[in-house]
Amino acid sequence: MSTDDPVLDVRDLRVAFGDTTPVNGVSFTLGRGERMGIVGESGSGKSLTALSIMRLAHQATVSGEVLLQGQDLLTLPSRQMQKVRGGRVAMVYQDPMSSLNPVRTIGHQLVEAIRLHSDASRVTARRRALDMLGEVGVPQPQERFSQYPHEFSGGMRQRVMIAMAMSSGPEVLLADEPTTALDVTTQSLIIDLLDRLADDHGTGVVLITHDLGVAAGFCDTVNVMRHGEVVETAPAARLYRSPAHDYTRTLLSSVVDLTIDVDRPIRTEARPDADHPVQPAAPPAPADAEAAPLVRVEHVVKSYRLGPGEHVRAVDDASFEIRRGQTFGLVGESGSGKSTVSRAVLALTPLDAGTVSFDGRDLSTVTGPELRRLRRRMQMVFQDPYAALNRRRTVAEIVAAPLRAHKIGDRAGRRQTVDETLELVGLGPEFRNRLPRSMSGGQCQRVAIARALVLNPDFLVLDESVSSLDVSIQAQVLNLLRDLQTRLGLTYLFISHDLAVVRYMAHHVAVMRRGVIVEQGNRDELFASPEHPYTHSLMAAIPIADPERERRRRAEILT
Amino acid sequence: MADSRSMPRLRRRGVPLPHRGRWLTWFAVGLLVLLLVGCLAATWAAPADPTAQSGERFAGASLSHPFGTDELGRDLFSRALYGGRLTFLIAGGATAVAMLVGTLWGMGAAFLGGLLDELLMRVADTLMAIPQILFALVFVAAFEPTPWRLALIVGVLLTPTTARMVRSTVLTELQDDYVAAAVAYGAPSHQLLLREVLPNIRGQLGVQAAINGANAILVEASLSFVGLGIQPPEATWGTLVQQGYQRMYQSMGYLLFPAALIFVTIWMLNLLADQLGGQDPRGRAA
Repeated sequence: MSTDDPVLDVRDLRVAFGDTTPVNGVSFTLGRGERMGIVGESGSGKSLTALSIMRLAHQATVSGEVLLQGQDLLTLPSRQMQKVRGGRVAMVYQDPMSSLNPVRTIGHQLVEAIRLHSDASRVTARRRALDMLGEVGVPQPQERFSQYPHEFSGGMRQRVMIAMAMSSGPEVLLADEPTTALDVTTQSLIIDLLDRLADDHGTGVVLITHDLGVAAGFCDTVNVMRHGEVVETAPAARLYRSPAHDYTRTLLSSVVDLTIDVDRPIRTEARPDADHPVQPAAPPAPADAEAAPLVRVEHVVKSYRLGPGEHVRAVDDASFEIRRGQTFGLVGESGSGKSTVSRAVLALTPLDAGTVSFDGRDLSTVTGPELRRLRRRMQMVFQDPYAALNRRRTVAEIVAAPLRAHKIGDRAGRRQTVDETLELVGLGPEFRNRLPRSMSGGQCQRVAIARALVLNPDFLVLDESVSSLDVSIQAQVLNLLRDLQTRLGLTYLFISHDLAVVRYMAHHVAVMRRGVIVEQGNRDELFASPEHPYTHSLMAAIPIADPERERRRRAEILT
Repeated sequence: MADSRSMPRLRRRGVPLPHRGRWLTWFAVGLLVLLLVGCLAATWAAPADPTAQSGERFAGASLSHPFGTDELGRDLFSRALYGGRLTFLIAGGATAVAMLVGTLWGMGAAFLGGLLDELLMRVADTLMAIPQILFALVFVAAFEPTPWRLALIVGVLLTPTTARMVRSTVLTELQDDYVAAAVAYGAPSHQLLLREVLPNIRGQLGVQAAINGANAILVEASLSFVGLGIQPPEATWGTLVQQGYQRMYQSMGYLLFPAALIFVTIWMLNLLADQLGGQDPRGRAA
């Protein structure tokens, strides 16, 4: 595609809130039908860049130029800007549920969007809406037309959002993390859809994502953003092969996909602004096939009541064993019941049937003070570190809370234990008096890990513990967890939706789908020759951070 | 990972709150403290003995009698200060009772769940179904109204609403992962509720306390107005309003000044409740 005649030309875009400038001089040009990627971690300013292009960054001071076919959007009167928004420049957001009106039918919303940007009659708009639904791959558009957003799955909702965005035939489509809220298997389909639409309509697409794998197969050009600045811009093929900037290299080396070597720690290059020291290299704990099981889950069933007479089996006859000193990986997409398993294993929820035993003791027979004593030996690390830490307590208080709960040690003794545990997870004593909200997600997750470790447990349940972290932080936390396992002889139940991360962490893997464990086995065997078709499709759906292989992967799953 | 999360955080940090909010809070706090101190220190603050009769009856507002005098020539300003002391004691006592009992009640219901929750909440519903004034009337008619009894009765009246509010707040908190984490590391129930949950709901408790305070003043004034509150010669603001109402045509100030005090106090308490409600450590509007 030619960039001589750019559709969108962003020049030195700056966005400021008071004294902070989260976007500080971003420039790029987008040609007709070109696919541009903006890649960065949270707080890099990538979403704000898109919002500012649309002039949707409220209360912000925006400067620079945003030229759409030579016309500066930043100086356009707001009446005309309204016509541009959703007309010539359209946007697709991360969460399709909150972007759709829940009390209006899909059809109504589509027709409304079309009529806003053209003088089509109700009948023509309706016909066009139906065409669009068909084009984005919503099956039976006639019937779906009069349904409400809640009757659509996440992926279908996102298709509707894309249909709405494309209905006006925009010149530019800004897609802000369009697949982040979706399952991997759906992700590929949505990216393919964007790809096809960009080709058919000649629309320039700006894909904003934190996922280097997604960007690899889709984008012609990739901008890497960090701290509000574009640190590197390059054609995708060049960027992934030979990144010029240190930060790009760090990002790329931190990516965990199915091609990485599991026997070596992920390379997290030292960054001058790293918020904690680099972890020592952690070889994986050896997989000792003879190790005795520490946790045994047998025929566990747990269902939830949906309404009168309506139940859903969140976990259906699940059985597995977790061996001492090893990691058992549990993979599944949203709604597969994997979090229910984690709660069942820790006796946080009563079971409908089956048993969970810990170190030979059936947890359902243990109650009261005895259960509390047993809890000292098993701990949990949650997905959202901000929610899992008491926002009113300092780091030292949070980490000391389990000690206090079990009346261990005196003040000075606890203080020392807390300091030692914080050091173990790579946090210095200067963090003692910080509050969770003043720390980054990675630091908070370290505090959560420290809290889990402070009682010297044998067993940790890690429920999506790295899913909300940025890639580079994720890599550090994964290395830390492996390192701790070897040093402390810990046993892990590692739960994640991300097959690649599970592959890196686990000795044994189980794949869960709709409450049922469809396949389980030794990590190497399972990944070498997956038997269940669902495992196959999960593996095939994971993007690879390499443009060539990623394109090949997508081509394969399409056929 | 997703920028949609960092965005609001940034907005919170980067954009200062409008100053109006803080200014109003301090204004409300200042005025309330002034009233409270003035009334509690009535012995020193009052210019005259509230029972001393001067020759002037129904005098208008003047420098020597800022609110004028009543039918016996007593200084109304002094009577209002002494009356305010009683009003504040009754309202404060009632609020304390309501907050203490209501918090335990609501927390218990939320935490225990199941049948006990059902039972506790149905009792609360039953209490709320009885009109407040009627409830108070029965009690006051049965027992002679002393300040402490009044505080207790009004406190009991305000308890069910407080319990309901606390229950729903605690239920939301119990969903949070930090509570699950505390259960998982084996925190005993009392520690879980008092050390983990309680600090996180103190904002909402503050709001409820302010609302309870305002309601207590209103209920006490209503009781006094129908003659069932504190009996003369002792007087609360409510008693003063009742007496002033009967002598409206002799002196408007007799009615208006105590009424204005009630009005301003309740207004300021509600203002404070609003301002407190806008603050939440998570940055969301509560």
